[in-house]
Amino acid sequence: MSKLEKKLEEELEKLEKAIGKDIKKVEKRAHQHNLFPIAAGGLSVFFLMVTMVVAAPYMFLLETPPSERAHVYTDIEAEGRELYMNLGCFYCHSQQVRLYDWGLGDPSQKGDFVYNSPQSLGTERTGPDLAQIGGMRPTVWHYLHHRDPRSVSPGSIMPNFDFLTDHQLDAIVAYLQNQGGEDLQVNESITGGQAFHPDVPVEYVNVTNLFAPLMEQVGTDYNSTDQTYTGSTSLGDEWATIFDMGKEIFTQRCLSCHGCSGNAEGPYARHVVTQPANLHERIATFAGDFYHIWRVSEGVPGTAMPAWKLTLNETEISLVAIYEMSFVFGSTRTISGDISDAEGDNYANTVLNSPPIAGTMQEFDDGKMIFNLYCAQCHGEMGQGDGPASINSPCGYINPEPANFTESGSDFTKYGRYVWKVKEGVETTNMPPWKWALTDDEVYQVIFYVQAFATPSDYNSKWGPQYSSSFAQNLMKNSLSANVVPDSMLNITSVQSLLGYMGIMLWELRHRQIVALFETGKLKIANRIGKLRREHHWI
Amino acid sequence: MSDSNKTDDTRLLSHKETDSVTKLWFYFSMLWFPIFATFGFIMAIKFFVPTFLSDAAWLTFGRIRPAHVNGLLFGFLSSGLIGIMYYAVPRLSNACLYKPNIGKLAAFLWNGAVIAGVLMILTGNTQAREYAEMPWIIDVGVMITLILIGINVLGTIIHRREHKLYVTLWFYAGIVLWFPIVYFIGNVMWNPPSGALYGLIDGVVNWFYGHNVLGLWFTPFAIALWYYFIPKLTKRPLYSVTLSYISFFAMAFFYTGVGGHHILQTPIPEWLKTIAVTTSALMMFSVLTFATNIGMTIRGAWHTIFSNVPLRFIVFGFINYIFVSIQGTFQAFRDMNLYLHFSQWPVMHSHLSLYASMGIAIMGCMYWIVPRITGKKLYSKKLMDVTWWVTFMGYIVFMAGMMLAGLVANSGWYAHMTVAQVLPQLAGYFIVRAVGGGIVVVSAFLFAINIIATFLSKPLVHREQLETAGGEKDNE
Repeated sequence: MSKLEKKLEEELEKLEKAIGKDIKKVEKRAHQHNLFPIAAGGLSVFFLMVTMVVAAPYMFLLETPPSERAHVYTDIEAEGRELYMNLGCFYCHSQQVRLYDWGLGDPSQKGDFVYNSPQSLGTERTGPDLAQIGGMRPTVWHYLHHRDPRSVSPGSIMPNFDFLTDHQLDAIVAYLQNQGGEDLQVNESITGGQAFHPDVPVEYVNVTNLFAPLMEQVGTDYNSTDQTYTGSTSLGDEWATIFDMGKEIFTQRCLSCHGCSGNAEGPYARHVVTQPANLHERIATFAGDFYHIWRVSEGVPGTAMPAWKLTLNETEISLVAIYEMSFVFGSTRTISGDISDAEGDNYANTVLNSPPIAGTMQEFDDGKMIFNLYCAQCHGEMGQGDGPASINSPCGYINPEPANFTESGSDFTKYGRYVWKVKEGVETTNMPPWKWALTDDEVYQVIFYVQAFATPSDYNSKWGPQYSSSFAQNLMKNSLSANVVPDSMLNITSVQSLLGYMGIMLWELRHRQIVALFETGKLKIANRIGKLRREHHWI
Repeated sequence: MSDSNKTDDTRLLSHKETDSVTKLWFYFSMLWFPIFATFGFIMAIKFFVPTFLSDAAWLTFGRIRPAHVNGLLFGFLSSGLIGIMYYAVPRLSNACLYKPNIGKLAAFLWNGAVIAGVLMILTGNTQAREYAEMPWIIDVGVMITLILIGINVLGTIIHRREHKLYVTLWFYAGIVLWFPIVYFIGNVMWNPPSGALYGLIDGVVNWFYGHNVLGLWFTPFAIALWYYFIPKLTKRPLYSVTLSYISFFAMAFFYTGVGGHHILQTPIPEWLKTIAVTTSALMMFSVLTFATNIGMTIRGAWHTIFSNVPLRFIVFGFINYIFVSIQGTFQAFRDMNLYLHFSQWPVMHSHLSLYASMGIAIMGCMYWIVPRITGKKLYSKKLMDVTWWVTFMGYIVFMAGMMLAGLVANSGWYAHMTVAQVLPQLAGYFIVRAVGGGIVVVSAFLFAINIIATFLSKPLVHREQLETAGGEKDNE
């Protein structure tokens, strides 16, 4: 160590001794030594906020008067509520109607909840909101739905509460049917009554449907599995007339909300405040024909369902009601499909047998829109006759089964036959006469779209050459399944760039289609993997 | 302003006794993680196979879900975080743990309460209030444990030999003071046995608790952990104490008030909604000051996360904490909340915070701490590396599945489709979520196997081996 360094060190030591205390003080200021300011400060700001968000609301909400919807729970309802909380129903079902919610009832008020302890507001809607579920569904529906949810609500992911005792189930249903304040006599339903439905006014109690006897008569001679009618021809023709008159009225008046398959998904269904009835589910729970006639005649207060007695006469109401019964039991097909084919051929030979439209891309897209809006609920998004309402889908009911457009049979040989069947419907099936709902051009557009479901060879030999537009002519030249390619290409690329292969996988699950990405960067889409295999000589 | 570099000084002080408390908490934590994560996987399957395990009440979704949540929150996360606290507090205080036997008692009491509580929930003895399901008698056990932990922590801090009071210790002191109060109020413990109030106020109190179990329990634990481990493992001094002050007091004030945003569209008083939204926004003060502070601390040392796997877990947790906090603030705004509420999106949000942020950070800490407190070599560094990639992959798929399911559902509802109409569209996303969740469960098992095998292996003899036992390539 040099002299200089030694001296420097001595000087430093002196300096330190001289101002030693001060250095420590400075250090003390720089670093927190003391727990007290941290603990006291932390606690006081904490308490300040607790006062604001717990104590103040407590004083505000303590004296909330009950609203009209709130009611003291009866013993059985309280038991049901206890089970509801205990089984954790509230993890998937919220109980609060927000101002912005739609079709769930009136927005919740403070007073709605005063008898609830603990609260059951919920934070998720994996299942529907239950704040005002009371009376929205038949009581029987609730019983069935708890035992096996999928039996009445096909898409449900609720577990089967089959392990509950009968008494426990009574309690839960009692609780739910009184949610929202409607005091319904729940347990009457066990004895067969439909307490959920309001009483029918006295003038309707003895009303019967004029055509119910005929329906029963032809129904006994009809085998719905192989669709054969063995009864007398005159009765069969009479039934066909009645049925198609009802269908015509339904198409004109009811289809816009209830949908052509009666599944409450008509084009206007989303624009009315309360959802239209799903006729397949609802009519099955009616106590009888008189009930059905009453609902159609008088309408349903508080909904968009009009009182049809102002527009239709009694016979017409009976006709439409009898047609709607086919959404419950399926149609009784007394007229063979050959007759419709023959009529279509006649139309083709005498009136029209080639497309009056050019077959542009715009027309194709318009056709697609109409198809998805009206036709897909029975014929399926891919035209395979397996839409959600079709008997070919797991929970469908439209029987005889809707046409499968991908079949390359002799069914559709003439353009005119297509037009006839769409415009006039098919006798004694649920295919409506679309001339009452669509314009001619719309009919031609939707036919153009439907034709593209055919196999490429079918399309190229039969339909493509009939159109003047090059779009229509080349539609199936290069692709496997034309009607998905034009715009789904866009879908794929955007999803693909977002998530890569996982996106494709998701897309495949959603659309039930196979997507193949080739090394050249080409993308191909097909309905079945077999098609791709054959096309590209895979094993 | 070095936060921690010289405090791990075993030459002066033996932490052997203290570390036995940490070990005890870690035993429980590493067991609960794979077990209750598996519960979550079962639930994920139920979303697309609804009849899967639904033959008895205790197997249904409504029972498994609270068991999963309580098991992971109070079993895995709390035990892990408390264990880390017992590791850090004596070292930062340069003192032995004050009354270590109390800490051991607390570990058994707490985890006994967790297992008893979960069993009671599964058999239907639940208070049916989200996050506060444990019955009253269990709440009493938890309260006693919280007080015991408080005695440990505050006692050690008061009897410390280190001159400074480190930032990490502020947060630990804060937790043991705030949380017993939050727990008492939130569980309405003065009102046994229902532990609930009547009407809307019950929702207000429930969600005051529901959010603060995150905001004033898990978050300060995790922040304390990052304040301790990130400077220590990156060998950088903490950037700023002033920013720490802001983040600490902003947290104590703003975090406390945000609970109302869970029930933003119910008819609670409008001013209460305003407080909830405002504090949710101002919470960013706490988050951003903290994030800046830690970010500036890591600056220049980011490369260490490539060589140091435990640090990678910890920093990944920290990054997710920033994500989830920003997400949380934006979700609390009224219009966003209206759009995003009720779907799987909030479920994704809570997994992002509790699993991806805190859970993953705990995994990193345990990988680092366990070899040091046992004097054993980590069973397999290779396995730890594999676990990281499994965790990361699971994280991506898991979060993407829930996020997409949420957004698809929300957009459908916004277009006035009903729940029943939207639900069938979600099946694909639910499957993706289950796959991702399955990968996460696998990572949990790999983690637990590695830690258990480390505990069971033979201790090392040489000090040099011990120094590299934790997985870093560079020497300490």
